[in-house]
Amino acid sequence: MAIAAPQEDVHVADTAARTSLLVQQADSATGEALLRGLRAAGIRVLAVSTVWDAVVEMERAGGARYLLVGIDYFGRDEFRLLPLVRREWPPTVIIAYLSPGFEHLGRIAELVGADVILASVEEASAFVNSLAPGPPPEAQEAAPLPDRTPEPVAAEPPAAPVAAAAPVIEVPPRPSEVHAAAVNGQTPLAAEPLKASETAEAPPYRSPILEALARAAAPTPPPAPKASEAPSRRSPVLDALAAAVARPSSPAPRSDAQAPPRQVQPPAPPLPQDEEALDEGQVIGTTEVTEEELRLLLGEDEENQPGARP
Amino acid sequence: MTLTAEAQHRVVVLCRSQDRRALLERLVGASETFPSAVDACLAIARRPARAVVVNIEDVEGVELEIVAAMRHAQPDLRIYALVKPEDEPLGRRLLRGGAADYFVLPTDVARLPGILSAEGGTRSVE
Repeated sequence: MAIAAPQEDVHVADTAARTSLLVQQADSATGEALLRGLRAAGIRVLAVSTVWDAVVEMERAGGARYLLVGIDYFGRDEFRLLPLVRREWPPTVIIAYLSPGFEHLGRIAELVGADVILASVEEASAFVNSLAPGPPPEAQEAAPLPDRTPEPVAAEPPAAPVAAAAPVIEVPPRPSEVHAAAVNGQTPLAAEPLKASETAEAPPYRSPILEALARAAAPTPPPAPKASEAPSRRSPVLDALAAAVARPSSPAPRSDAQAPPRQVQPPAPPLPQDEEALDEGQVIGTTEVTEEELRLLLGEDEENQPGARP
Repeated sequence: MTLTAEAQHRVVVLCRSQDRRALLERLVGASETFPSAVDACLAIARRPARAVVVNIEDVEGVELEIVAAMRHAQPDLRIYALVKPEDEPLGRRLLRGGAADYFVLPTDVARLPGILSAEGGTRSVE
């Protein structure tokens, strides 16, 4: 992994205004699609090349709305970023992206805190579509929402070279309500963690997305889908994202209704025994993994032995 | 950056091995020890420190990235590395990457308390 200085979108002087942090991964088509798509959609992105830089930038910015992490070459130390972000900045939505052939790392990422797993360029596009900006509801009534929003919605104009150079991904029409408030929310998510009272009445950023995503992803009350049904669903990425952002912003009550009852993970193998549950598309990233469980997952049971190697 | 009085005395240790951690804490004195690099980076980014001691064996393969990130978090941070004898060339590379000094285990660490004193020096890159 090459060491490079963080690349920030031009005109993003205020760190608190960052909306997403991308840990780049070399030669990842999914990562490239995410970066291009987010920037084309007018979402501010700070790209860093290592998880260590990501920690520093997250702390400086007071969090981020989205953390996107390429995990193809993650080792145990890199995976620790996910539970750390989950612990320190609970409102941040963690999105892990990977390349074909690295699905097993996606499972681990889910276990240690990822909310959404993007395993292909198509899923990355679907994710970007779900975040793309749109006009306010009044404008939607006056004029139908176009398939693609040409200009990013931001407090300040995006960098001309960056935005103009970024190719726009072909996107299908998206549910209007998903985008009505998605990026128009001006308050950075993690800079001011939402209180429970804020989510109840017209919050600045979050509540419209939650409701819209939940509606878009789960038009009917979701009984637990069977594994065979999961691939046929319209948008599993949206489904996972809806579940992720619907997570309470307060770190204290983590055992929310969406998370399954906590079960102790089996010790030795890195992949969990509840593989079937993962196949169902169940998001378990909201389950808090203890440090000891993380060690077991990542094969660190020999950790405290002198001279032990990973 | 001018360090506060608290930061002047703050030393962060990144070490996973229990035995080596005990050795470091004995040598360094009051310090904050973290078993993982992300936690150590967060600690440095959150509150300035005077120095950080990294057990390179615990961050094998990503040591240069971690040094770069720590310097990114706090440019004037003094970064010291513990390396095994066979990794001495790596210590030299770390110096070029921004580390202040390195200590070859096991005996060279005896220099650590002196280096960490107020007048601690910096080994030049050869």
